[in-house]
Amino acid sequence: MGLLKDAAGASEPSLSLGDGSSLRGVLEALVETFPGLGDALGDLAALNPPQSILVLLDGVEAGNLGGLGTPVRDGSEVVLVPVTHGG
Amino acid sequence: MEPPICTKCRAKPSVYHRAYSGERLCPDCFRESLKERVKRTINRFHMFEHGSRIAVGVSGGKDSLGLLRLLAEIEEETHGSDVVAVTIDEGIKGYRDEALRLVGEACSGLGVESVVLGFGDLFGTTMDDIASRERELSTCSYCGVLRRRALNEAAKSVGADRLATAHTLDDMAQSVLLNILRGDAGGMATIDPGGGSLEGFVRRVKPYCEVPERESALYAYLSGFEFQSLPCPYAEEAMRNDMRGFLNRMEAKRPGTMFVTFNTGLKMIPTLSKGEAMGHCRLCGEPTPGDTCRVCQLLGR
Repeated sequence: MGLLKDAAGASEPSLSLGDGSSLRGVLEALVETFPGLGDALGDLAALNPPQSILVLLDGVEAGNLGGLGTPVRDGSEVVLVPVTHGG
Repeated sequence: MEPPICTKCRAKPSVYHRAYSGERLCPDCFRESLKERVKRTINRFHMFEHGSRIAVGVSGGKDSLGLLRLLAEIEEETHGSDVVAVTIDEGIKGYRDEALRLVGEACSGLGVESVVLGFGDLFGTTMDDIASRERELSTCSYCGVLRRRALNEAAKSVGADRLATAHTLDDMAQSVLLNILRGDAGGMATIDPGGGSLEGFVRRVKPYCEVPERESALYAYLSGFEFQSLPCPYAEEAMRNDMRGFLNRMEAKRPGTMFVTFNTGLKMIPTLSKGEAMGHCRLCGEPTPGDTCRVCQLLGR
């Protein structure tokens, strides 16, 4: 959503990932596919969950699950909401 | 992985973990808790009176659109005050167009009156003009000063006795640290979210000051409203960005850091001078502690 959509140049991209992928794997694959997202997502290794974005897996915020280590099921929807954007 | 049950209603699955309080909330309880938080903040800082006319500064971002919705809801339930949206058009081509559309749509949907005031009309210049000039200060320094004046003028023009802005807890905690690092004791006095009465100024209040920015973003997402997607092309607040990064890292490691920082700043206010005696700018007549106001200084009048 928001500036993340602009950075990616796509609002609802589909990704194919291997079995047992985690939310972190999804975000890393997104940055690899859309390098423009790198700055917007920040240092994924440093914060779990990242503070500059809300990561929702099937409508549930990552911090309410197992953070970025949460496994992602086939057909899951991941939503990224930018947090830092001004008011 | 299934999410735990909401710790408030104990019925629905939770979607959000509030690390600083330990709560796990479903969408309905989350939205309700945010509204209750804003109500408590309004009461804590004695922000409104019965019959207040509240001008809400709405930029089209998630924070101000969220605040507008919540204040409109609260005031409709309590029949306490009038709410009117005021939006400042800084004259940034391509950036403000989207925001003005979003504000217009939100106000129509909520049945809230709205007013737009432009830098061009008020100051005879725009941020596009200022950004293209040679200057010593950052664009944000100009924009901040001019926007504050413009919001005050817009609030006065609609007969408001309060001007509500959507500064979040993150903004407030950042301001506390910025004031300390810049040695700006007078600046610390201005973080008072209840504002103060000063001749010529509509009283400024910050009802979102205890809402973390993450929760403002989640509120916007769960409420399903569209907010501005374009970042300001002139944004260059280097030191505030450093504070933001630092506080975000601390909040992730030690939840509650932002509340502690903000509340510590509030405790420092009574020990500080509330500022100098106000006079009037000899050029434009607006209130100022000096001979000329900051707006006239920046515009080289």
